[in-house]
Amino acid sequence: MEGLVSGSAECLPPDHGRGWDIICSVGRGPGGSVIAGGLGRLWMDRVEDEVLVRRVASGDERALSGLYDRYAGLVYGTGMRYLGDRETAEELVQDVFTSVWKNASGFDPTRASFATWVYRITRNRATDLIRRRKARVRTVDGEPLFEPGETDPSGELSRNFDVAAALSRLTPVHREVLVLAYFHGFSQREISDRTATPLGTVKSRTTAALRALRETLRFDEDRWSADE
Amino acid sequence: MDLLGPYVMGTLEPYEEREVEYHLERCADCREEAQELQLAHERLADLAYSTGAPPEDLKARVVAGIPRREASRRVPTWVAAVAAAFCVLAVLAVIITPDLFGGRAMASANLSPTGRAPGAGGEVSIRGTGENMEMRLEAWGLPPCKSEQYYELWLVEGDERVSAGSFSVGQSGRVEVTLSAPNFAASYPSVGVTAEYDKDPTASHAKMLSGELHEL
Repeated sequence: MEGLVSGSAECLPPDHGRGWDIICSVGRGPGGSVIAGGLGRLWMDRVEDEVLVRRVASGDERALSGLYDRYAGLVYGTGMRYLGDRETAEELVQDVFTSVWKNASGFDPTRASFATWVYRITRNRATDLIRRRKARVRTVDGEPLFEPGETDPSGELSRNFDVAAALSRLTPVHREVLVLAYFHGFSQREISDRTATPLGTVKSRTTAALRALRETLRFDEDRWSADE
Repeated sequence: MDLLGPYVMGTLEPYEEREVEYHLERCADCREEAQELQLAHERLADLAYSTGAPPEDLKARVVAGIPRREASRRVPTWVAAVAAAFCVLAVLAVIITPDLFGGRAMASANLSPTGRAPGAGGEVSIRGTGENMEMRLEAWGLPPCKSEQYYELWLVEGDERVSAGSFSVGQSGRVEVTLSAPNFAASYPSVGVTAEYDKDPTASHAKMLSGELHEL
């Protein structure tokens, strides 16, 4: 019942759904216990993707909203980067999450993680949009990144979805320091000020969070390679 | 080595960086760990670089655009008539044998009060099978609702909670209501009741009752 505990939390202004606007500063209750205050989306925080997608299959729109919070920023960023314009990127997000909603009952968690599944949907929908709109393929340093029939050749897109999934499974305290640093661009001192946490604690917590992320990524790699 | 994370991120003060490097020169385990953290750092930096900021209203548009599961369909008149006859029979059967046709309780909870309603108590039972279930709530000793105030019943799992419906309580402090719930309602470990205010879109933390759900 932690989510029902009385407490206050200062939520950061939403960063327009970069996928990680779920972060609120975490207050501390008596005895150092964490009070997870904040809005409804925070309550979805610790639930695994696979549990949420099962609820989506049962018609739970809040669960779809929870998955959106975790992955929409990445899907949108993928659209902007590879499809080239905002309108098409928004269309990609709508296509992907509508597909998640329609096909959730067919998702088999024993065959792949949700991140892998939503990555495949994103890749396929992006390919469809490129074909349909004959979108110009953007390049970085003159190298083609994404073409019909040869999507994500470097595996970068797939890897990003795996990292997003791993990040969502960290504890709120660990995720908080990483999100504030990487997605909001805050320095360690700014994180210390915002979260009312001693600077030394922020530094050691950042180390622990990166370590936890690395271990989660390795666990996932071992799990899915063992299943193949 | 608590500073290794900020070290691989390049956010340490120069003197701290020198300390870490001095230590790394002498500690093979720490060098190995620094490589591991460096990999996590690069993966996160890639993710942050690739993550965009969709418009704030896009989520609402996505949710509004999804096809509803229970779309209404026109059915031939004779099918509706036959269905209505079956409904009458089903209702009679449920009245006569409440344990059939999904009337049996799947899970229940005894509700304990919080400091906000020390004399309150209650029971919740979840009944039914199929697409939707019923949540029957009986509670007593709740403070009567003030103007624009109401109560809300929640299914709770860890930090997550999902609304199971709302209700009012009059001067008696008692309530008996039946609310509908999705078919996975019984899979939640806990339930709770909070006091809410109209026109406030955020859920409150004013917990009045809570209890653990037990499958029957």
